[in-house]
Amino acid sequence: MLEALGIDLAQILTTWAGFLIVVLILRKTAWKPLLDFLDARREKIRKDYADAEHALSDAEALKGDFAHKLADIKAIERERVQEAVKRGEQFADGIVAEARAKAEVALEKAKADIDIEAEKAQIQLRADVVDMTIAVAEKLIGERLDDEKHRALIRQYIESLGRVSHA
Amino acid sequence: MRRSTTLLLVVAGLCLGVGAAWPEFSAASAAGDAPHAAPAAAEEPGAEAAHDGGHGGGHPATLVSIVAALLRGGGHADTKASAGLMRFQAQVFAAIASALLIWLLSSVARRRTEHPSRLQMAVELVFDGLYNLFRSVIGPSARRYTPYLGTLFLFILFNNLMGLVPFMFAATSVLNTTLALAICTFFYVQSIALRENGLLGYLHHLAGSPRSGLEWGFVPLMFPLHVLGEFIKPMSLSLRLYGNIFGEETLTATFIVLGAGLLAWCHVPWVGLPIQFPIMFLGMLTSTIQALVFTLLSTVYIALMLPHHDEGRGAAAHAH
Repeated sequence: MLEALGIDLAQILTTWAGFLIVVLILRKTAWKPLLDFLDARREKIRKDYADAEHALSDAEALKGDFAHKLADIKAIERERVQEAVKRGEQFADGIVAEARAKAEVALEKAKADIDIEAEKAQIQLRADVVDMTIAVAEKLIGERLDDEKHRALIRQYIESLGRVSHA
Repeated sequence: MRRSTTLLLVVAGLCLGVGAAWPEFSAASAAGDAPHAAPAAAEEPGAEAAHDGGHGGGHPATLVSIVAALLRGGGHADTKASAGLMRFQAQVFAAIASALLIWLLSSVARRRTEHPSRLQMAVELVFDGLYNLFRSVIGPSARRYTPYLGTLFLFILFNNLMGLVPFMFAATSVLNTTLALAICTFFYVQSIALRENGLLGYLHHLAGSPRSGLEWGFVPLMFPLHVLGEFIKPMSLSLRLYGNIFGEETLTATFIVLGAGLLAWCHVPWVGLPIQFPIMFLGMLTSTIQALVFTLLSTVYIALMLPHHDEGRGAAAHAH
């Protein structure tokens, strides 16, 4: 009956045994090494991916820290700039005040100098006027006057002129 | 592109010539009109069917049939060696396919690197694809069964595709080969069932995994049915594969003969119209599909025998 169906037990057994041998050989030489290799690669990719995720989260945290520190640095910088500006202004005010004080001193000194010089000039002018007056008077009367007496008279006259002009 | 065109032309040329050159068309498929058949074609169809490894129908000449013809020494009477060779033709070609498979996969596995070649990438793609397929059906324990199931797929695929190569022969177009594969799967599945469930669990499973009293009442009916079902599974596997591949081979052979017949008027030997080409492309598709169907059904049989499947089915049944 089996022969009529074309079934041959010898062929079946040969194929069966041969296929089992192929399975055993390929299991050892191909499937196990390649599946292990693929598993290792999959694991490596998974690990790399996890590492990348970890690195990314670290980087994010670091970025946050940096942003925070940057904000702090900017605040400190702003504070220091403001302080520097303030100190600069104080310094400038000091310089201005000092300059102003020096200028006032110089002005006072200059005023005093001017007064002294004016007084000197007035004295000199008086002396010159007295001298000229005496010289003119001597020429007019033809005799020599007492110098000291005349000088006192003339000075008195000039002072009276000054009083009249002031009045 | 240029390389693939050249390859296509070579294959077309081979098929064109071989279509007319294959000497051993059966009288039935060639309707006694193979125009350029070698003298071996004059052999009686009945005698060929008896010693062609159970193939049963006409098939173009193969390497084995040519060697067998040489062993006959030009005579028509079978010698013991030629008859033996023809009887185990399928096994010879299965051995060739196996050797090719082992050489290819072992060499790729041996030379594997972190920077894979195209061949390694292709093999990895197949291995990974098959593993994922089995895991989607069986679950995490699929790794243990992958070598068997994967080898089964590749063995069937290689043998199926061998039938499309001139002077080769698809061992899977012989019922004895597919029966052997189905018997392998049958014993493998049963051994897994015994190991995973234990003897009592295995018998419980064969009884239909009864839980309620009513289900236990049906055990005398269900047990023989399940046992019968376990025997029918490999039969259906083997018959499906055999029928498809044998049909494909027969159709290809018929079209080759038709192609040769269409150009018979020009009396040029070795030339035939390659009208078998569309059938061969179809054959490539069905070869892959049939290998996948056989393997996938074997995977499902394994999955059904694993304990968690019973629990899942039970839970699902309870849920309904």
